[in-house]
Amino acid sequence: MNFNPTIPIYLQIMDSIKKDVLSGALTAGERLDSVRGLAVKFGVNLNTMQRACSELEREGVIQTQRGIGSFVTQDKSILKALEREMVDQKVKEFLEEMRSAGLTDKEILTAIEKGFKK
Amino acid sequence: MNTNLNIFGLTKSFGSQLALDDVHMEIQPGRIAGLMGPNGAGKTTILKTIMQIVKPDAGNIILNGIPLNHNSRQEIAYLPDHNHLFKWMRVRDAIAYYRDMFVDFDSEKSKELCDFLKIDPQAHVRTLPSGMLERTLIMLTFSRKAKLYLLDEPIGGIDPLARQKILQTILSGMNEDNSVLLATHLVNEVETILDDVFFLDKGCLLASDSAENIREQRGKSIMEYYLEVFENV
Repeated sequence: MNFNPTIPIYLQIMDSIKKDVLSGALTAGERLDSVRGLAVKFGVNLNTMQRACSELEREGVIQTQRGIGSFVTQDKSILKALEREMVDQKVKEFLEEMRSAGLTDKEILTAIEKGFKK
Repeated sequence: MNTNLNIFGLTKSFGSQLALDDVHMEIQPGRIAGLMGPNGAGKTTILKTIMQIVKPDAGNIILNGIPLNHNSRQEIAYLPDHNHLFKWMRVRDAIAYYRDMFVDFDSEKSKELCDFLKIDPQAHVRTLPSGMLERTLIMLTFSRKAKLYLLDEPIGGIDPLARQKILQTILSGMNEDNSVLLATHLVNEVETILDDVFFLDKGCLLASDSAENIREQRGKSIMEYYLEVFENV
């Protein structure tokens, strides 16, 4: 995975796992690889991976059962919230970019409608 | 005991040349520390001093709470920046040599690493291309269950695939009790695996910080911070 070196890496790993959950690459209730395995897979050190996992756990995206492993949550409300958060963030980023390019809200809307028709 | 390696006021001159000037460092267990700086900064001298190949003029080094002594080398796995294996050896001879030299050598682990790194134990050390040689050296180093791994330019001058495999070997060799001190000037290549960084120039420690701190507090990549620190020397 390619990281942006100016953003804390654990945040980027969290985003990547959340994206996998939303896209269905990781399904609800699925068991995650061990922290060690994930660290090697992402190419980061154990401490960074540990931090990403504990933050994900704090947010409720994954649940750790002692001695068994970590699992993607089956809680529908958390998954729903995750989706909303992701959509909000992407829309915000998109709008910021368009506005900084000098487009008015109306022009952005027209551009989106055009995009759909293509 | 919560530090793996403590270095206090390390000073060393070679003749009139000051190689290390009052260097202080601390590495916690479970962490990968990068020792970075241009050529001639004193990185290799620090590693050699920890290995007791070079005798410091002043300063102390404490490993796991105990000052360095004649037993310390059994707890440290050192990968020098040159090929230290005998030219007549095959890879399997080098493995046998390490097994005889170090009580913490794990033959099973060396087999696993040979598979993972695609090393042929029958190959002659003399004829190994540099990427393969570096893989062999990292295999030997991480077949040991050491407390501290000292790696001197383990990814210098080798292809991207070998580099990635070597970094993966380092990552999977880590646990909560051991630590790694990695000397390199290839800052970009090791950005994502480091926990802590130490910047060294002309024998002086210019800065040290944790990698996440640099990204979170300063909003910079290690490379950007490196350039900032070294530009203002």
